[in-house]
Amino acid sequence: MDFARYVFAPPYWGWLCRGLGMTLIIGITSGLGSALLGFLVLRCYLSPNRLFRATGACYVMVFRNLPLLPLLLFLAFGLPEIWRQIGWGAFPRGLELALLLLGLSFNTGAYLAEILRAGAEAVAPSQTEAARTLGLMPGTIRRRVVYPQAVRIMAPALASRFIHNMKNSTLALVVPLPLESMELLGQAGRIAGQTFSWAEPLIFVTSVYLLLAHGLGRLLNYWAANEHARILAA
Amino acid sequence: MSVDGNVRIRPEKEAKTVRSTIPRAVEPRPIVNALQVESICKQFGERRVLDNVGFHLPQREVLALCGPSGAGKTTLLRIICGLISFDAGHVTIGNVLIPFNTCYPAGMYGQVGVIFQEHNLFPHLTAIENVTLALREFKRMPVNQAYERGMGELERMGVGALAKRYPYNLSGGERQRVAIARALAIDPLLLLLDEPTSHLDPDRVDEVCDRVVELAGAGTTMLLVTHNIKCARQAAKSFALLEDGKCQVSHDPALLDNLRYRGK
Amino acid sequence: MMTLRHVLSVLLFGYPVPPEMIDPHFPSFLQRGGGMLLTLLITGLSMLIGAILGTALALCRREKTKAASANAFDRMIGSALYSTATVLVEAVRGLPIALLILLTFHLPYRLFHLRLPDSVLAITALSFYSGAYLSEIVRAGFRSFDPSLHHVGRVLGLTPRQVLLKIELPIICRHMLPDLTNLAVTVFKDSSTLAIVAVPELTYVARQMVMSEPINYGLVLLLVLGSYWVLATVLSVLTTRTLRLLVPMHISF
Repeated sequence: MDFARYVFAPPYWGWLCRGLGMTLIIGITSGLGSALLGFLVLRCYLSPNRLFRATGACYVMVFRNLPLLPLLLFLAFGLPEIWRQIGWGAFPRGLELALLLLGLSFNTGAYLAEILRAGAEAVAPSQTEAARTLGLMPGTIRRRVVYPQAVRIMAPALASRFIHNMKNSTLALVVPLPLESMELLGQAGRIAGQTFSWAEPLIFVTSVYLLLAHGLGRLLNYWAANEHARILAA
Repeated sequence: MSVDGNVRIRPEKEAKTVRSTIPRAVEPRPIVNALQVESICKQFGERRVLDNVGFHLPQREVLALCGPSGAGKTTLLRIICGLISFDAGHVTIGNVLIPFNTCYPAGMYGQVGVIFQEHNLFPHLTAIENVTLALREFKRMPVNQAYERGMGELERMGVGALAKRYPYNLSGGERQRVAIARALAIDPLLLLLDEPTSHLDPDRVDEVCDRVVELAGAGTTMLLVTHNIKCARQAAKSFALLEDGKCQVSHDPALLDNLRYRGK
Repeated sequence: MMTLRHVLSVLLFGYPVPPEMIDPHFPSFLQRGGGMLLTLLITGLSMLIGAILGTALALCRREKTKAASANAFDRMIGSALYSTATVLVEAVRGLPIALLILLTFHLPYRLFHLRLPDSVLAITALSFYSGAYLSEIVRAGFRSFDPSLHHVGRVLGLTPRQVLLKIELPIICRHMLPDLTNLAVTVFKDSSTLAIVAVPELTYVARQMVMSEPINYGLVLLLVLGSYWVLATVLSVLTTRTLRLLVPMHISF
């Protein structure tokens, strides 16, 4: 159990720090992507157009029930194969990171869409009706009346989904990323590949993830509480 | 604070459940009154909620207890139910003196039938199963006998046809009637009704009220706590008004007019 | 011979395991299987063991355990149990599954020189995972019980144990069922993460097949994705439909 040599020593420590940075980047980017996707699907769900509603519902139904790891495997390995088989030539290289982010966003986006829809429906319809009688346009009603209240209602579920998304970034293990842009667990694997010792990097990475998950949780709760207070005060 | 020097603030403690040694008097005392409440005092911190409250409820009679909300009715009921302890005084149910410092005193199991405002019925059981649960578990009746007894009580309340329905399929008035049937099934010494109609729609109130009056006529001992003055007048023989922790008892319904005109 | 039948049989049952790889100390049916069969087996067993573990953890995390009896020694044991259970549950919930699986697969050997068969380690990892989430579900279930129903039962003459068995538990179980089935589906989907440690469940068997036989990885993966999706959707749709009937039976009126 030699942490000094396997974790805190020069090349490995640098790798781990880069890995942490990469985890944060992947987590935040895929979080934003999934938020965008979730929002789009929400608009599809609530749209009067039946085709849009069906598309939204299909997307959620598909991606909520697909497990993430096989999805990432498919995007990283299956897609190039099928690309070749169809005859579109070689699959462009260097797209692995983008595909990883895409996969993560699609997966989390489906869950977020459900949460957003539940939140939007939880805001009492009388609010929308009252706003309409005041003469506000639908877009303004959504932005000023429905969403602020909905965000307050679903803040805990949203926070937990975002943290779960950040934890899912560990599945990037299966995607063949270039060595320098692997996330934290991948870097731990890289160290283990060189030193033949999994335990030390794993224990270190465990503590980092625990701190990350709890810290993020507290941060988001704090932000949500403040948001709550701001909305109430305003 | 001192009331006869008898005030003892004890922590709420639950009596041990020992069925075989239900505390009864050495020689069983004759039952004078179904319920006897004497000089009950209860204090929550600074506030004295009940101050020397006392009344008798003879057998086969009905006492209507009214009062503004927050006057201590709920506290008094919970004391009689055995849910909380009290600081001074005596509560006697039948011939069993309820000890003041324990909750769920052993002597009152199955002696008092209680019907609350709502959340009475067990939601996972049908009406008939609700009624027969206590019969089978507490009285240890065989299933057939319990079923017959239960159906009898339900029909007496007019809800016999609804025996196989679940509580979520019943209206408020039907639920209260099933609750009354369930309480009557264990043949209690007295029936305690805690504002049975206050959470009902106005057109359902009569369903329950009529049955209560019927039961009163048939000789069921009842302590009826209600805001419905009409129901109280029709059903009850004596009336008690609980205000600011003090209780006034009389056989004259005019006592309750004080309640109405006080504007509370 | 690359027929659909062969592909399906491999995906469902995995490759045959040579007998020298089977550890005689552990059940052989766990170590011979593969593919979807192993996935379902692992999911089922993890849910069962996780149920026991989760209930135990939930019991440890009651307030009563922390500060119950007058005996100081009991109180010490109680609060130790409470703290251990809380730390365990919070740790498992805060970690990604991949990390949890890697920990379960590497620590026993490094720390205790213990070699256990892959499927046993897999079931342990997923049991901890489902146990932690289950303890939260159980705690929430008990908190949601209406205390006035307890009082109603006592007044009718039932003992505390009868109230627990006949009233409280049936209601709480019905209340917890949707969350439980949700968890089962989640564990089923997340069992695919076991592929990173070469447990021969569905995803890894697909990879094995592609490595050893001339077949398109993309199509096989689509098949794999399809099977996960079909099972997960069927299970969740079935359970929501059935549970909708049970819903009114746990809300008190």
